[in-house]
Amino acid sequence: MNLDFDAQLQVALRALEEVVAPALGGAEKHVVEQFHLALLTIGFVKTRLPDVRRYARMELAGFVALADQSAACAGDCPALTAAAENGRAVLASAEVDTAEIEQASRRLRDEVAALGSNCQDSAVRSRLDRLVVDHATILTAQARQWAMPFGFELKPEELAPPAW
Amino acid sequence: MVGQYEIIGEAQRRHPTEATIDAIRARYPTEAEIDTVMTRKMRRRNGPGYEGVTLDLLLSGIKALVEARVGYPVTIAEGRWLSGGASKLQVLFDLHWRGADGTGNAVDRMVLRMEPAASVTESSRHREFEVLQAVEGIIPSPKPYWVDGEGEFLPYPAMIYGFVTGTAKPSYDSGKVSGLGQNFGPELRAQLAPDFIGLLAKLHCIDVAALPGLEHFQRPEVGSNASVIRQVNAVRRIWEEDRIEEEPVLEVVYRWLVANAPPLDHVSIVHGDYRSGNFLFDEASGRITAWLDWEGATLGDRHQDLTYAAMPSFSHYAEDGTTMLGSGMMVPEALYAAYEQASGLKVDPARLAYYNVFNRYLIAILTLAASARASRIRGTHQDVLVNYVVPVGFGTLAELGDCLAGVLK
Repeated sequence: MNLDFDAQLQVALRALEEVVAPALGGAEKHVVEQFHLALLTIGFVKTRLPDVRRYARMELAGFVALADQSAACAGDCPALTAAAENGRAVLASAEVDTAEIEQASRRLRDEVAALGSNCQDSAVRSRLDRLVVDHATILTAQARQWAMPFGFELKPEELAPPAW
Repeated sequence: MVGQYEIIGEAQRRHPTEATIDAIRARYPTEAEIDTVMTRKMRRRNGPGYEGVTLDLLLSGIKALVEARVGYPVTIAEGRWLSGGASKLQVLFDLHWRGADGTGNAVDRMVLRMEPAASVTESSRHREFEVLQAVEGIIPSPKPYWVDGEGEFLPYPAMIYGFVTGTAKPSYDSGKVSGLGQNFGPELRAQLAPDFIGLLAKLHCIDVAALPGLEHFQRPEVGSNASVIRQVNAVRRIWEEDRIEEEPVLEVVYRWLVANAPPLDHVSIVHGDYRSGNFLFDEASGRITAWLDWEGATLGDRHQDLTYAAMPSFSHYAEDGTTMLGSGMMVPEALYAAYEQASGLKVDPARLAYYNVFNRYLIAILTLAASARASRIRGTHQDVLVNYVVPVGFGTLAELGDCLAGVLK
């Protein structure tokens, strides 16, 4: 494709950085601040756009695994099991788009949270909570790596490497 | 049922029905004024998003508000936008009036602080106004003049307070967005730290029971944890109303916070956002000239402010590259020790542990939910800034995982 997104974002960013930014010298502070944040946001998109599908698949695979572990722990949980089956089908299909992958993850996110919160057996609930916390540790490390271009990490070199 | 988990969809969040709003209110009961503000936020979602307002519109609204309050004509001059802050819209202006006693001929510089349609922190102008009245003369802060709590004169709820001088960022540093992780440098840090600690101690020692006013606050009781649970529910409600997607770990944290809420041993005015970026200082003297952003203030536990000020999200590494300085001031342990000495109030490790979890829960939700939602619905005057802080929530989620590892049974 001639009009690939990376090139489009590159030319727009270059114009903004090299032509528009120097012309903002006398602008009000909030105008300059929002301009630089807009540049940063577009830069983030340019950096991550090629990987967005891989990231979504990694996230969904993680939630399917968490759902399987949770179902094994809790026993009968048809809503979560159905969401996990849906997740597996989405992962297996080459035709689904990224939005469908994200939607499958969101369904699993809801069902996992519901299972733990509505569980009446405190021992089972504790085990479910532990699974959730352990899973969150892994996924959050990836989310931090994903968001690194925004510049909030104090020691980015210490983040877990990308797993997508 | 209170606390019962229900799955609600994006359509219900984006365009909530009255039944959806009522169900959420029932599940997460909180203080009456917080409930009013959050219910108003949800109802706004069925109206237009934020539409840019002109300076002239706001200046005419200011004039109408002031004249209604003082009862005579005034002149508003030199109006201009004021930058800074992530949540509210601010306008600087000169008020020509008869002065506070109504008999003179005065010109006072003032600030209009108005909500946009949606916000990083949905809050009450009544509460912010009342807490500024409560700390007047005790903590350097803007003098509150008038409040338009329901948006009668201005497009959205707003208040007017006196302009205070000072800077939020050192002149030699371009500074961070909203002061997050601001580095003051070794010399200025050493000058500012005593005020940073001393004013927090002073704030928490105010005798709340003896304070008049504060009508929009529900007064907590020593020995009870009911007010703490109301606060936790308020945060949980933001998550329910604003989130883009569920983070199951936050439901684990919510249940833990409710089950382990400590009873209050002392009622303090809690600033709620006590960190670098929220105070002004005089660079020459190294003294704090004003504490700003009181919108999150509550009546509660001092450990909330203490742990908040020390959070990594508001910290940076010192020159040695390994020492983490809370709010750019000092390491948490030193901060707590200095506070204990300055206030005479005990710093309780168990309550520190609790509020370390609470504050991370709060920040995770304000960023991953409130900020993300407000910018997506085009709800603010600076969506790009509000969206920019969303990833802060991931770092906070990681810290929550560390905190939970130590406290989960």
